[in-house]
Amino acid sequence: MKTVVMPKMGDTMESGKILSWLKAEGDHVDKGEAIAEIETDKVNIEAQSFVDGTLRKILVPAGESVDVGTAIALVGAPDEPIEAGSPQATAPEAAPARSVAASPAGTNGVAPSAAVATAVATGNGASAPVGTDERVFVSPIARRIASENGLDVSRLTGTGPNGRIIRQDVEAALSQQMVAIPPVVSPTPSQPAPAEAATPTTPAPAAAVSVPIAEGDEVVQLSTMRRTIARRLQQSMQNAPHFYITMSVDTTRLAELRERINDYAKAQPGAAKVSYNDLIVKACAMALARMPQVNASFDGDRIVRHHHINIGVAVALDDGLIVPVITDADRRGVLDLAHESTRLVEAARTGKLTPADIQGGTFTVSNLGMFGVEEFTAVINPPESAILAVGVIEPTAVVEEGQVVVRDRMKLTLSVDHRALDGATGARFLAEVRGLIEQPMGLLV
Amino acid sequence: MALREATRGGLTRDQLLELHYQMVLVRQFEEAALEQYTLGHIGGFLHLYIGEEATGVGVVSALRPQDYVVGSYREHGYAILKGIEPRAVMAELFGKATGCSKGKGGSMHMFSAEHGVIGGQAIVGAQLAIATGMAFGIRYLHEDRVAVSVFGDGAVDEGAFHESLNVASLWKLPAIFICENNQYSMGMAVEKAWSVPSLEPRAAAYAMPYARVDGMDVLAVRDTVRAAVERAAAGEGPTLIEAMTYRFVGHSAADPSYYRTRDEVKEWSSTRDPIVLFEEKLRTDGKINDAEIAEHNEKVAQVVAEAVQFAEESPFPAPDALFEDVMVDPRGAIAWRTREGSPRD
Amino acid sequence: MRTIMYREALREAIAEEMRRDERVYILGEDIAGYGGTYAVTKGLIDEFGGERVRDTPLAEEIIIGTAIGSALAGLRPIAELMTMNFSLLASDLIINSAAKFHYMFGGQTRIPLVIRMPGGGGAQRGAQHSQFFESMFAHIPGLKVVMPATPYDAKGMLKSAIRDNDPILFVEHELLYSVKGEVPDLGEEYTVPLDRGEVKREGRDVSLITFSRMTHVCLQAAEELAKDGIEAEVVDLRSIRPIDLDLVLDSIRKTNRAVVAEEGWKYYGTGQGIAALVYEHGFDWLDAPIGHVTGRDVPMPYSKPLEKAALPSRAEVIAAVKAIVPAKRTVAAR
Repeated sequence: MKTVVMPKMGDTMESGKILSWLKAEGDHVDKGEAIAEIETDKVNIEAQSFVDGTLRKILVPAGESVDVGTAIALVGAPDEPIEAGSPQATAPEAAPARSVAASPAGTNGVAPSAAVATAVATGNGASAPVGTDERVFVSPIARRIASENGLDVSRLTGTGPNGRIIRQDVEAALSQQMVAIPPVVSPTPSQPAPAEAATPTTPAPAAAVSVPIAEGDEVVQLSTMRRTIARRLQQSMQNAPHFYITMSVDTTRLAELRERINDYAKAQPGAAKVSYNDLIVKACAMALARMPQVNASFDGDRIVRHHHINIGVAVALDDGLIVPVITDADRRGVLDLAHESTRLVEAARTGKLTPADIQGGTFTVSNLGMFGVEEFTAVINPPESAILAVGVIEPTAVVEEGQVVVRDRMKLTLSVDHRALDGATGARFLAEVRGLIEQPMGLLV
Repeated sequence: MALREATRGGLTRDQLLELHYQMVLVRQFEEAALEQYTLGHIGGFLHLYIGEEATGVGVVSALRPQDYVVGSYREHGYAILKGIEPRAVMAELFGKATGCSKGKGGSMHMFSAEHGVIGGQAIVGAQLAIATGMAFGIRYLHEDRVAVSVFGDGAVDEGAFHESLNVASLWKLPAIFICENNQYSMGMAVEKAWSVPSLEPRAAAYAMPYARVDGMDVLAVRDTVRAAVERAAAGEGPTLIEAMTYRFVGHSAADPSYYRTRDEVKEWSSTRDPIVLFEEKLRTDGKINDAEIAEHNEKVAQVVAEAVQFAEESPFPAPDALFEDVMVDPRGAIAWRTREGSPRD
Repeated sequence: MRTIMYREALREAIAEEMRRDERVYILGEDIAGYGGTYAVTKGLIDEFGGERVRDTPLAEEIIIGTAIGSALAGLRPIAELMTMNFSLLASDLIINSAAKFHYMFGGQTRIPLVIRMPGGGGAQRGAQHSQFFESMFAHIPGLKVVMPATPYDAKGMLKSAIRDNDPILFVEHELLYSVKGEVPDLGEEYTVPLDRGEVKREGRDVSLITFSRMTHVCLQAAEELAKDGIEAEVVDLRSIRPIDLDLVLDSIRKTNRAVVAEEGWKYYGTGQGIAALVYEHGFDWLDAPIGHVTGRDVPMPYSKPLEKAALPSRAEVIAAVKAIVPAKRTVAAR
């Protein structure tokens, strides 16, 4: 038994209506012979049988519509039994009421004139803002820089077209802030701090936990810098899966080299004294030049490899932390690098850093050796991919050629963004840095 | 009109039986395609060759394997006759990865470089211009091939017809232009579209030999095309052939044929079916018997059923195929620079 | 290095590639005896003969049909259309055939085809002979569209295009043919990639994104802007499809401002496409809306002063830059 289905006659056809049956049950049909006339959305057409046989059963009576693919008839041998499981047409339901007269024509014919009047009324002063929700126009890059630095743009005056706040407005504001960052201390917690009230666009980070205030507690409102540190480092830990690699490094030769450089520098007018940190920065810069995949930023669906090697040096301040950037550290000689780092640290401590001084870092060195810290892990400074944490240089007992000897050593811990770099890459990079420190003549050539 | 008297010109019985087999193959393939279309397994447009088989079989039997055929959108038959496996053509209709155009072409775009099937071309007239260019390439490379374009009577109305005939004749290219005059361009009767009733004066306008042939007579078509192939291969230039034929089905599967009467269709299909005509001729000559005809029908039915099964069971193209083969160069509209090793797109 | 004209650079590229590969030939209207409408193919007939430097009837459809068919048959054609205005007569075969076959036939065939044609206005050739349709073709997947501005790029990119395996529209400009520029000595082999733009002038304040003849207009505008202390970076796209978006975005990350300058019409065209891409991929780097300098939204008039008014000028580029670059820069860029 062969089932004849409602044919799909054209790719847009979804259903068809049987206009008439051209054959009756019991009639013989030839392969290719028309058995029914079908009405589609476009045309009337004939349904044919694809086999020779007898039209045994009509499943869909004339006048009904069914979806394509629905069985409409059975064709088989004259005496072939019709199985119980043979396809049946869907029960012919009462034709859905498609009466076009059902809905009164008037309902959507009346225009809501009140609404029109309202629209006209607001047309006159369309740009006038209503209430206090004043629109501030900010260019995309200005908004981005402001957001990264926790700057409230609503307090700025835009100098661009339409009073738009543009990049130079934000940078000017930031450079003023950098000079003096006044810590805002509010004695009473019940009263919202003015800065908070005025900065709806930059909510304080991690505000989810409400801290109970006991008598005598002091509430310190966040400075812009504190806010930036909190937001950026929270963002870093949340977004960048960190992993850490530690190596111990022999600094004996580094100390010798530093001494000789500084002997030389004394004779040079205006030369700065070279610190251990300067040499470590130089070692990192050279390692980055050799492994450019580390000098990179993870950026959603891509990784940006930076052309310049700009190394940030974390500088602790009384009220926070700032990371000025030594640009093109790989291309600077050691003395030049030391000069620049001296300038930046001094500028940081006196609040004289310019925006240019703190932008564009591609890697950071954080050194807590001066506090006697043996080793620590640092939080990556986004959008960088790694940060090096430097511990104190200490005399350490080590075994050399079977003898216990004392050597100066320090511990270096690299924090790595696993989205951008893998463990082996991080390890190779750290080994590269170690090699440059243990054989430091490479830093000069 | 003096239809050429068909000959049995030098063909062995096996060769004659092969021509019969091929016509049955094309017929049954198209019937199966229509059935699969009604079941929703094939989408888009489906233009069937039922009724015109003698023309396609006659043309391809006169060609050599190295010759190119640039067809119209009614080209399933040519694809199979030129050597593409029926299963690969059916799979293409199903939009499957195993189709001869990897499921990206569909009914109108069968292709095989290996078999010289240069597409169904679905822009009417393009096949003439492209075949003309291929003929230029053949001549330039001193190859022993011809480029055949097959088109309907509607293509004659396009400018490409005239530009192509002019240049092919002017440069004496090894091209053969075959008009399958099935008397309707979609629903437009040829006498309502042509200012002259025959292609003969049009060929004359381009100083090109012209032959009109009964497209329902496979041997007549074969002989006519063979002469054109010899002429083209000898460097004497192109030929325009007008094969008078008729399609027994609608322009496409969804065409109710309002523009012609049922009596007209019935008249053709009952008295001028090319397969029946050929069977009668061979039977009269004692070259074929009913058992052999039945055997061909059964063998073809198996091949076609196997093709349908293959198409059904084949996978659809993988999602990645969407962006494959847009160009030889995989870059699209945006050339992301690949800074050493950086993963972009 | 030598200094030669744009048309000579093209001729050298064609001749060198025809010597290098016998499958390369050129066809078009009046390219042989006449030497080409703009004298690009002058003299090629003498070296290569009529089969390889093939004059055709005035029939754009069959010129491109012949090119596509012969590419399918194994040749590497260069088709010259007398002007881009006539490409519409062949646009069906370009769009429906050349751009489609590789994909539509499942990657089984390729169309190594270069269609050369000049477009653009400025020579009083009127409404039907002064148009650019590059955006129409660049809209189509399956095509490449390149528009070099200098003799160096013209030669290097034409050689790359002839060696490429995809259909390429190589769009020249009637006013560029006599432009001179430095090109390596004969015998010194070089090519220019088809998917890389080039920064033709560096600057920190604004990016001028442009192509074809407008590259020269932008370079002149940049020199004048420099007198006012504004340093404009001129990014010559060279290729419209594929577009070197990284280069554009790199420049805008630096300058935060962009003006797109093109000779064609403003609406729904190449420049708006570029601007949309920048808004999509570089929004956060913008400090101002993207400026857009274009030809006027009219058919090209014949009369000289009207035509001049219809074409984008250096002054318009300068004005567009000044509209988005702030007058005073209180913060020095690093």
